Amino acid sequence: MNAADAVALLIALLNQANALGNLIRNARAEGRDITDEELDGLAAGDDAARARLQAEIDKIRGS
Amino acid sequence: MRSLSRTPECRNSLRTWPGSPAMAQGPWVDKGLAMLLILALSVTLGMLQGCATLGVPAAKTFEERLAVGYATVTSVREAALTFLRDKADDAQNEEDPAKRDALLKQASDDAQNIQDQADEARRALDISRSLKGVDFKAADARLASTLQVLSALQTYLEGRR
Repeated sequence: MNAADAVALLIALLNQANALGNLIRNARAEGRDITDEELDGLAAGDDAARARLQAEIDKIRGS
Repeated sequence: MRSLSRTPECRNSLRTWPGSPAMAQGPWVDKGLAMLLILALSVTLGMLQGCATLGVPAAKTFEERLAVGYATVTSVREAALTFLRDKADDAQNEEDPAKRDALLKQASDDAQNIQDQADEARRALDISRSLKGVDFKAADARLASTLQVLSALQTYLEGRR
């Protein structure tokens, strides 16, 4: 396992956690819960991650 | 970030998790992949309890926990992508074509397995979200169960390192 790749992933994960933390903090500061639009955004992010992973899998299987 | 899942119920849910190929028995996943998945799960599932050091609040409401669920599934996929690219790079350095092909096949099979598991978790999260307006109790139970299974996965992988 490439240490640089693992570190890059950790940084990306921490950024994601930070963004999610901000989402929750902002909602609470505004006296509301996380909105449907914000949840849709997270779901769309997962759709994009899914597509990226599947594309890589398909590329390797096709090679 | 404490693992949440050491109860018999969690271990049973892990064994019966849809699509999970007898996870309780024998090697299931490359150690490098396991490490990356543990990393992904630790960081995102840790948000369920919060982390003062990182300034991350604990998720409390249904929507906040659902958001953590979505982020967790995404991070699992990203970890699998990192693993796959890493293995593909390793395979390019393999001179024996048969070994190279075997490495690539194993890596892509592992990644597809993770993708399929992530899809199951995502479906469960979407179902719990759609249930919320109809039967909040059922929605909350479904969400809690899905997050518990993801935590159980983390525990399982930690035992496989």
